[in-house]
Amino acid sequence: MDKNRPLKRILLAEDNENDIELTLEAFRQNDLGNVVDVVRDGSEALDYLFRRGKFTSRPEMEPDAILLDIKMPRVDGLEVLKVLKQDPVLKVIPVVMLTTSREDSDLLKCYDYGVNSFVVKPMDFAEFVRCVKTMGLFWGALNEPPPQKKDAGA
Amino acid sequence: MWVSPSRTFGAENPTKEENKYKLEAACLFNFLHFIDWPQNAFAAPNSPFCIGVVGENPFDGILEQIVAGESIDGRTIEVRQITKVEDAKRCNIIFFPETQRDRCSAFLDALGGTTVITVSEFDQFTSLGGGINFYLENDKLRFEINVAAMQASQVQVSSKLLRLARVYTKQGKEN
Amino acid sequence: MASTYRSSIQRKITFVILTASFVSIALTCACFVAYEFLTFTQRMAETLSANAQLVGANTTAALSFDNKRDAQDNLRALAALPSVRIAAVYDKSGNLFATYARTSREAPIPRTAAQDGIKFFSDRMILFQPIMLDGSRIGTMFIESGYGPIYSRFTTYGFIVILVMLGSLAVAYLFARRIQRKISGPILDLADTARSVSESRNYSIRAKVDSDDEIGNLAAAFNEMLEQIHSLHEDLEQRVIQRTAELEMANKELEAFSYSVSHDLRAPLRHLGGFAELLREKCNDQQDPNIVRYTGIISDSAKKMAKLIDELLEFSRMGRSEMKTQVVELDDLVAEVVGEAKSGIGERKISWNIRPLAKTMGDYAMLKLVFQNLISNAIKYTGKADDAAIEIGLVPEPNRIVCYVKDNGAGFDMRFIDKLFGVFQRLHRLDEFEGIGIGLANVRRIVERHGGKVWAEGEVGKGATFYVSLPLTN
Repeated sequence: MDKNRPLKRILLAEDNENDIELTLEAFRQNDLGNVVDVVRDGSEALDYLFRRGKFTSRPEMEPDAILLDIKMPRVDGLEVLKVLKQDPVLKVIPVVMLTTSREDSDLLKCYDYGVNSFVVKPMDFAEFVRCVKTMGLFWGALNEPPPQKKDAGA
Repeated sequence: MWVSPSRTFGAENPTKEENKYKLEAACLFNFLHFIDWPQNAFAAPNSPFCIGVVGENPFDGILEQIVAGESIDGRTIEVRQITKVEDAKRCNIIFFPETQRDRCSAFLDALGGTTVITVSEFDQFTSLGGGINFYLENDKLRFEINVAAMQASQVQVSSKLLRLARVYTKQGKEN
Repeated sequence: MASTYRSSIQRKITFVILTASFVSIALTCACFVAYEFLTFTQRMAETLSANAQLVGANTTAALSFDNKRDAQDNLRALAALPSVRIAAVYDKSGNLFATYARTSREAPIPRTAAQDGIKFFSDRMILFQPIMLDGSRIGTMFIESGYGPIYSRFTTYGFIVILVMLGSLAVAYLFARRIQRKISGPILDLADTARSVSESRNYSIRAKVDSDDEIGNLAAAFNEMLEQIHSLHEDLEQRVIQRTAELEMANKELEAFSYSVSHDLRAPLRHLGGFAELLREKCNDQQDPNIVRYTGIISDSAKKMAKLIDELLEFSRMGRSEMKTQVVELDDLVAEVVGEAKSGIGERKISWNIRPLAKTMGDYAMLKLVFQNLISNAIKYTGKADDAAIEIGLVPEPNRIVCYVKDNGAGFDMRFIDKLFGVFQRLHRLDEFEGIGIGLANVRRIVERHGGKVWAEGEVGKGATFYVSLPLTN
């Protein structure tokens, strides 16, 4: 782990509490040391990203990666992805679609909107844990994120 | 009933003389067909034709046989034996057999100017003033007609008959 | 096409009119000619008879006085009549008396007189007529005459008749051309209308109705029919549009449903498995071994159910997804599937016999699924056989391709063949062979979408053969 860099921050957009718990557990078991901000639906995710509503005063630093569930109430993951990738600032943040099933139509749309990665959550929990680990290592450690405009740590 | 000469007379094998009279009998009868007499030649409109034979009848009944039952223009035909000149005047045709040659001059003189046609069978008969004369030519019986005598008798001779005959005129023989 | 049809009916009507005209003209001419012929022969006969009378009368004296020369001369008068060829006079008993022949080449003269009267032959007429004298018959006149004058006259008539017929036919033809238009015109109009309707598929075109006879009725009936077709057609189109819309709607709903199922049914299962796993970890130090076993069963069941859902979704998708038809080399496809299968069977020994296959038309991915299913089935059901053998080949058939996949595995009872290709139908217990019973249903669905058929033969313990028919490449 690059100790010079601030703790990796990850935004998890997921409406299902069980999924949130399992995902956080997987992160915990892998001991990745990420900060995971959780939003419960698409509109909250957008509020978070655009610093609206209760997220007006969230820390300046943008998340290093966003884990997006597709099926969410109100505004779904695809919509969030679309808006996100149209924003000149936010579009650089890597987005991983973390979803329950592999639908061709979803896959196509996601890549069309500019998704960075598409992952189907494995049924087996042990596998899921390994999957989260791989993701965390890749996006959190291996991958070089785009340069931050406002470097909070500097 | 008209009888064909060839059939009537040619059947058996008669003598030349017999055959000649058979043919002459037929001709005498046939003359009635081709000669027209004026009305005054007959006593009545239905008076019969009369054929007179002068002297002995040489026809041996054949002439009577031929004319029996026949009628021409509604007139029957009778055959008479003529001995006197007076008797001859009531006939239409008078026949002189060759045997009566000597008597013909008297008859011809008496019958001049009457409607009686005189017929005979010896040479010079027409030159003597006779009407019709039979003669033999190549063994066939032919006849000569004295046109002047016919005109004197006031009868009409059919051209068909004339065509068959040798015509006698005073200048000479024709045909 | 149009012109031959057009000329054909016009020609037919013209032909009918001309034929009728020809027949009537021909009949008229025939009657005329026949009448003329009769009149002329009659007149000819009368003339002949009169001449016979004349000549006969002239021979009466000759006959009477047996003068054959004179009769001969008389007959010679007939030389003035060119048509008289031979003539004769017979005596009363009918024997030849005098003769006449125009030339030396004439027909022989009858030796005896025949019955009185005139007789007509094809080239001559003969007359026997009595010769009378003062009411008695004295002989018979015979004259044979050619038809010279009639013939020459009838040649002229023939020319006139032909000219008249040609002229009449020409006039009739001109009239027929004009008259037939009255009949063929409306029919051709109708035919044109019918053709343009069928060509343009425009059912609003109407035929002209300009007479109240049968043809007018026909046109009216045709228009009525068009009206009905028009409304039926519109109705049908409307219905097709409606049905298509309904189908599209249903399809969309089905898609939304299966989308929803795939997300919403799988998520709780994953949670079930996930939390069971977490529970097992938490209870690792517990003494009761059943806790481990129970949590294992829970997560296994969840996995199995997820697989079931996946396959069901796949099946539903297979029925709806669009086919990308192309030429498919079955040899390559089967080699690929068998290659993948071999790598999945580990230590098992199977004797493969793959015979040459053929080309077909179809969706490569779908057909691959067919053979994947059939081959994996064959592998699965030969699992308990000592010397497993799988054969893939072609049944020769003229109009289609028939592939078979044959194994010597567990086979099946032919009594249950009806259930073989049904969804979730299984012929074996789960503890014998794994599977959920959707593979063959998928195979059937795909093959039927390709216009083919699937069927199978089997015997318990001896093996099974699955047949798939596919279209030929065109």
